[in-house]
Amino acid sequence: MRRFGSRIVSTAIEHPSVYDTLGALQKEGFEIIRLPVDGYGRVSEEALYEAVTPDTVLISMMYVNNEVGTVLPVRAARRAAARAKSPALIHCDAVQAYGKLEVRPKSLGVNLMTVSSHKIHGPKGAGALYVGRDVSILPSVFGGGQEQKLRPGTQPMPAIAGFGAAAAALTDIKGELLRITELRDYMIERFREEGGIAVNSPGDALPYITNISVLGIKSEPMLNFLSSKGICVSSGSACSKGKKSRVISEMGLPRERAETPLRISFSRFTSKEEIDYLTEMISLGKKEIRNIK
Amino acid sequence: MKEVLLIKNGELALKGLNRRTFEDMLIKNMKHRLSKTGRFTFNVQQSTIIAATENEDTDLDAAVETVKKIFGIAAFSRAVACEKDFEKILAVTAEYLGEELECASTFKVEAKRSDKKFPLTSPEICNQAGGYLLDKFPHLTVDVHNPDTVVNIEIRDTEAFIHGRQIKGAGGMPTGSAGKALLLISGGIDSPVAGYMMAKRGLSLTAVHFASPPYTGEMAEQKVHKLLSKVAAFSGRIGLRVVHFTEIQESIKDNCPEDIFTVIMRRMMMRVAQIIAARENAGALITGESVGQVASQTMPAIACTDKVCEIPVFRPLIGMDKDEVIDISRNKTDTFDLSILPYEDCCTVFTPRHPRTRPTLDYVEKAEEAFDWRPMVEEAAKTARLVVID
Repeated sequence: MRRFGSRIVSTAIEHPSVYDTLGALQKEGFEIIRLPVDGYGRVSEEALYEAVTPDTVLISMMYVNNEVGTVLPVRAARRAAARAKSPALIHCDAVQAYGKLEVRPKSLGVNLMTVSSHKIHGPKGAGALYVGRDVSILPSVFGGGQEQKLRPGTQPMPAIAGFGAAAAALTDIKGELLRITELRDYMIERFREEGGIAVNSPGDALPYITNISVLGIKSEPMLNFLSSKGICVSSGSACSKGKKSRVISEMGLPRERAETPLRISFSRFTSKEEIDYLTEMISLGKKEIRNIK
Repeated sequence: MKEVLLIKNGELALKGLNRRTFEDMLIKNMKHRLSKTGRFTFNVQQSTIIAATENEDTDLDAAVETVKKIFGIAAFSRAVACEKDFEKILAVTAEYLGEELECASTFKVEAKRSDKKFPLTSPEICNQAGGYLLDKFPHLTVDVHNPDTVVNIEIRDTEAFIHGRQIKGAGGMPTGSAGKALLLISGGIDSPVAGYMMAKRGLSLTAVHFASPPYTGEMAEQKVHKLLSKVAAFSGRIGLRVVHFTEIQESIKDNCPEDIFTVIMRRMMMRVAQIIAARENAGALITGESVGQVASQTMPAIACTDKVCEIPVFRPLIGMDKDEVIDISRNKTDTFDLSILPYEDCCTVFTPRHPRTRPTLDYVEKAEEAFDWRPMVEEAAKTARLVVID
């Protein structure tokens, strides 16, 4: 890769598995450009076109952000490389999109794409890397001949078989997306009625992930409270003691929203009743938990 | 070969007429702590406690690791017992310490003879054993000042013991010999270290943790369990009382000035802790405070907190820098990595943005009368939940 240059273009809101890997490459001498995001976690296509230069060797961009659900302009990466006459390979972390949006590497114009089993109700411990035919990659672990010698080691058959079954069990993606969008819109409507809740995700986010702020109430007590009521949401990452989520920080939200994010994830099993219960419990939590100043 | 542990109790030897009491306590602690490894018998000979296994299969490596963490032991050795026949002693020495000697290039022999009826004097034992080992291991040379390894031969009343270098013990005084105290543990870096330090001085520990659900979560309490189990490896079993503190904290927040929130909270904690301490026969409280570390640990703030305490409050970290505390938490208690897990704890909930660093007692006492805390403190102490940490 170094033959062609040493510049890698990515975004500031990648998952740590990509973000930190690029950090390690930076120490090895690569120049890492992390494109900034706006208040909704969006990356501008113009910024991408500007960042990609002829000596850019890799563009790595997630398809859907894991904390706010923002859909990133992955298709523009191929155009950016073409315009710059750069030989860059394009990698897409499609973990959050897989099974929820159509993810076709070719139509997205990406050479490499990663997906994971546990996000589509498959077992933990299995994932997949799509490698385009025109790409040859080198192994980083050595030994046996498994996985076309790219990642030698005895394969976990139960996890792989489970992943396959989960993929086969995916239902009508487009129809499901419509249903989930309706549910999401219903939830946001309920939140609007409730009041005091800001939505941090953009309107065109993948509806499976919605990031909200219950104004005045820090994430952790609300999480604990909801958890005690049997509701699993997350704050987006391990954040407390003033340690804010990187994605939320990059979005530059005001303090009252930056300290209070909650990530609500839907699956194909989410129902309207669950959303009603969630709204009710957030409302109760607002009464029981003291506000921060 | 019959292996034993020879335990030197250091500071205890300086005790006068109480010495037996201390030794008995140490033996009792060792018996309890080693019970997971196997059954041991103990007997005391000339200020050395000899711990012998009853069962040949006992894992002595595990026993050594356990003994390293028992307070009241200055140093100890893993030794082999042998009949008091010099020929046999030589043969056993060469066999028992053979591997150690193979790996060394210099050595010396030290001898102790408390059985004066043994035909050779200590210098003679050193000389002859040294010569024998030089013949056996021709690659070795003697270095009496800075040897790679030391061969110890002790001729005691009943038998002889042979061992290599001594292993450093945890020091301090036997747990329990100084009584029992109550540790206030939040989940930060300091309190486990404070507990360790006081246990080292012979205190057995009981602990109290303040939980404020939903502001603090289950993970924060789990973290305290894990921290205490690290401390318990040194101090022995700890009974932890988890106090439900939410209502008290909310009432302080609702009724008292924000700038002295933490000082009032600490006064409430001390009150609850004292009720529990009295119930558990703990004679003092232990905290991880260090002067000037945070606003509630300035001298005036500590003075305000201390005013509500009728029993002594031990603050072993009071004059230590954070670096020094971290050093102990990394290298002695092994609690650092747990302590820095980022969960909200009772001390970070409602932390004021601009706390007062020089609160006056008058101001604090007046401010806290804004709500009727007495029944709440009683209730919190009464409903505390017990978790036994072993």
